[in-house]
Order: sequence, then C-alpha cells, then structure tokens
Amino acid sequence: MAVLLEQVVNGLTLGSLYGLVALGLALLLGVVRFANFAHGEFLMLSAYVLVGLRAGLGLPYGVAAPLAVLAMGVVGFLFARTIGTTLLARSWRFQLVGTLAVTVLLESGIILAFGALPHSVPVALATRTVTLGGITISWHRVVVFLAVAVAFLGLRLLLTRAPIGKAMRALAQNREAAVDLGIDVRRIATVTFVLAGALAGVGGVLFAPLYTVTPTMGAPVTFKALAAVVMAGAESTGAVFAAALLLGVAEALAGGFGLAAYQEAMGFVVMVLVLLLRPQGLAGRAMRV
Amino acid sequence: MRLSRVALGVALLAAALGAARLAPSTYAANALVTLALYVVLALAFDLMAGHIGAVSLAAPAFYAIGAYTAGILATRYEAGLLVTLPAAVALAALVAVAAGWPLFRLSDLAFAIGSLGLGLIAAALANNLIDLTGGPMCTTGVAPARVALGPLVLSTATPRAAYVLAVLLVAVALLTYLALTTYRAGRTIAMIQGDEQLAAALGVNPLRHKLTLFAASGALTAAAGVFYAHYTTVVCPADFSPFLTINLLVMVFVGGPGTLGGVLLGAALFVGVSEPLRGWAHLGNLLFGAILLAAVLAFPRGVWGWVTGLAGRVRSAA
Repeated sequence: MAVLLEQVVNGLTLGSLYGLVALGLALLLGVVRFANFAHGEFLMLSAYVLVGLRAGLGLPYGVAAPLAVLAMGVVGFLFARTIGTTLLARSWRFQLVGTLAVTVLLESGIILAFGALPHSVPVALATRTVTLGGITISWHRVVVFLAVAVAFLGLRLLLTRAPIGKAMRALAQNREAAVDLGIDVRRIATVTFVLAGALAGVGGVLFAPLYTVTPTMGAPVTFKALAAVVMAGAESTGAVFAAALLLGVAEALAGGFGLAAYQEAMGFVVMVLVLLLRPQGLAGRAMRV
Repeated sequence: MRLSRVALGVALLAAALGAARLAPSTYAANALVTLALYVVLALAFDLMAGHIGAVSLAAPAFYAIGAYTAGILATRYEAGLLVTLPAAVALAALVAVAAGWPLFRLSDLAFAIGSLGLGLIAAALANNLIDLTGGPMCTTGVAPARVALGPLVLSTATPRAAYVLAVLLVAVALLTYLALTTYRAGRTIAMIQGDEQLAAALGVNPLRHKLTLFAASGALTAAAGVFYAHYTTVVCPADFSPFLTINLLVMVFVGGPGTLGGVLLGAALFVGVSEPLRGWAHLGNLLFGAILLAAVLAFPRGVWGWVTGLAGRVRSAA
C-alpha cells in the first residue's frame, strides 16, 4: 500500500510539473491561438538558467530560482515580440514547424553553452525527508506541491479577478466581440506569452533538483503537456491541470509496476483511451483551434 | 495532353535512373538513395497534411511497421522483397484504418497529438518487444533485396543498384500521390477540406476518403521502411524517433504543402542543407534551426508558393 501511495505521490509531482507547462500551452492556444511546440524547451531553459546562476554567480537556490522564473518571463516577452508576432498570423501547422525550429535552436544552443552531459542541482531540502501517513517524501517535494498550488491558484485569481485576466478570457471566448470592445490583442498576447513563459520557468526550477537537467529534457515534457491539453478538451485551467495530474500518475504507476519501459508512451495510451470514450475531451466542449 | 504527360514522366524516370551513372562516388549514390527515400516519405506525409489538413505525426510508426516486417520476415523466414513488401504494405494499411477510425473523430490539433502518440508507442514497442524486434540490440543481418526481372536484376546490395530500385519506389509513390490528389479523387478531397459538412450533404463520405488517404500514406511510408531495412540490413528502434516526423514536417511546410513541386523542392532543400551540416555536429544543428526558422518566417506559403507567385508576377508583367 505504501509503495502504491509513494508512486501516486511521485506521479502527482511529475503531473504537477507537466501541468505548469500544459497551462501555459492551453493559455497560448486558447487566448492567442498559438500552438507552441517549443513550450517544454522553456522549462529546459529555466533549469539551465538556474544551473548557470548557481554555478556562475554562486547564488543559493532560494535566490536563483525566483530570478530564473523572472528571466523566463523576459524570454516569454522577447519570444512574443519577435517570433510570436510573425507566426501568430499563420495557421497552427506553420506555428508547429516554426516552433520546432525554435526547439532545435534552443537545444543545440544549450549543448554548445553547457555541453550535452546532464547537470544536477543539489538542494539541501531534497535530502531532508518527512514521513506523512506512512510514506516518506523529501521536503523539496513539499516545496514543489506548495509552489505549484500557489502558481495555479494565482493564475486562477488572475484570470477571474484581474481586468487583464478577464480580457484574456474574453479573447478566448469570442475574439471578434473582444476586439470590438476595444481589447488590445497585441498587449494581451504579450502578457499571455510572459505568463506562459514564467509558468514553464516555475516548472523548470522545481523540476531541476528532482531529476537531472539535460538539453533534451524539454521535448518529452512538451509532448505530455500537449497530450494533457488535448485530453482536457477545453480551455478550462482546472481540466487541463487535472489531465496533467492524471498523466503524471499513470506514468509513475507504469514505472513503479514493471512497465518502466513503456513509461514514456503511457501518457499517450491514457490520452487515447480518454479520447476513445470521450472524443470531446474530459471537460466536454470540443477543442477549437 | 495525357500522352505528353506520360512521355514527360518516362523522360523524367529515364533521367532519374541515368543520374546513378553520373554519381561520382558511393557517397553520392547513397545521398541520392536518401533523397529518394525522403521524397517517398514526404509525398506520403503531404497526402494527408497538404490535402485534408490532417497533420499525421505517426510516420515513425508506419516506417517501423515496414522496416520490422521486412526485417523479421527476411531474417526468420528468408523472405524476399516480393513477400516482405506486400506484407508490410497490407499491415500498414490495416493499422492506418484501425487507428484512423478513432483519430479522425478528433479536431485538427488533437489528431496531430493523437498520431504523435501512435509514433511514440511504436518506438516503445520496438525497444521493448525484444523477442520480436531485438530491442536496442536491433534486428541485424537483413538480407539485401534481390529481384530478377528476366535479364534485369534489381537489388539493394550496393548504393548504385539500390538507387534504381529507389527511383522505381519514387515513381510508384508519385503515381499514388497523383491518383489520389488529381482528377475526380482530388476534387472530392478538395471539397472535403473546403467544407466537410457540405461534402457530406452532397453524398460524399468524408471518413471513407480520409481513411483511404491515411491507409495510402501509411502504406507508402511502410514501403519506404521495407526498402530501408533491406538497404541498410539493420533495423534499430532509434530509426523511429520523432526526428523523422520533424524532418518530414520541415520538408513539406518549408517546400510548400499540398503541391507536388513544393514537396519535391522541400525534400531536395532539406537534403541539400542538412547533409553538408551533418559534419558540424551541434553547431550544424544550430545553423539548421536558424535556417529553418528564417525559412518559415520568410515564406508563408512555402518556398514553392513564393516561386510560383514570382513566376506569376513575371508572366503578368510580360
């Protein structure tokens, strides 16, 4: 039983990190109609910014991590104002190829800068553990859950309470009407890219101490986040996040119970099963792109 | 009109076959074989992506079906090309229809992600069904294909000989592509892409046409896989990574989706740009990414769309 619970906790950790990337992807798809196949690379980039800040400036994790998240917000801004602007006018198929080019650029750029070998980010909290309900988890995992919860609730609050969040939802629901009401699409698009970049940044800095940091860690995360968004089937943050958690748990259970070799494909098996039963996705409404 | 097209086709085929004689080295012949294989794969990809907008990221799955069917049948039952090719093509078409049934219920992007899953699942199976595929140790010792047509012997034993067979494969792929995208069949799928509900109201069964295209695309991809297995004599799981899909996306969308000229130009540009960069390792990748990004940003309808647009302007100015 404890083994099962431990695997579920592992899965929820992994799923919540997928969730941060999936939320950014869903926001970009829903609000600005942008299919970003490089989104997992932002998680990778954030982990390397963290590695660089610690190794280069000797900053402690508690300082370097928020700085890396901030840096990813800036990356989101720059991405929005350069490549994003040009690709926004294209169909999602060209966005797919354009963002794949960004993926190739970022991966090979990081290899040239940091080498292809994995880096680890040791933090003190990852070695200290706490026993809760019969299972032992590291304090860093507790930090991960708390930080993800804060990020998720913060995003929900922003989308439901803040004027900018309401404008984003208005754009997602009815683009033409929102434009007629004077919503500045360009500004909202930039804000969405910054938010999505920062969310992936949070994922990256939380991910780094748990697993190793490699130049190719981004693409699998992109795949799973895309699967979660498709599985959720709607631009509801709750559904996207729940789908990501489900994927993470399915993967961890497969890994823990003799199907480790199929772990990578597991998320897609779950997605295909969900879509066979509910082609419109978990949340009901068919996805629009 | 039709006769002249047939004559043009025969002339092109003869020219393509003659290119092997001109190829100065084994390296060049091998590069031509690679190009021919990519042309087949890109045509198969564009059948879907360029004509019904369904971006299938499942190419590694069908390529693996072809390569492993050939590899397993050839190493265990000493089967030749005349057995492995039909078996792989039939299996791929069956899998396409079975997978297409649920996948085509999904919207555009969801279809792409679902088919991506198909490719990843295939790679996982290739790695783990060790009794069947050899897993990471690969299926080795696949005999080269050898087909004797009277005095003419087709074989994949050397790059130069394989090139002739590869050109025939390209010819088959081209004919399949044209048969499904021109004349009546082409107008029907154009109608489906334009307005699926209208097409259905006029008595066309959109699902049937989509499944036909998916099956043809999967079968052509598998045929390329069969050729690959006999040509390299080794089949490894690493051959079926998402990189294959990325390469196809690049060729078709940089070249110009939905146009024969665009697909051919895209494949040629891809091989022409990526082959010289291969020796530069990661710096080569960086340059490739930069060139690709610039091409996507600069040519909204692909390079072929830009070329034909330019030609149109020159003609109207004259």
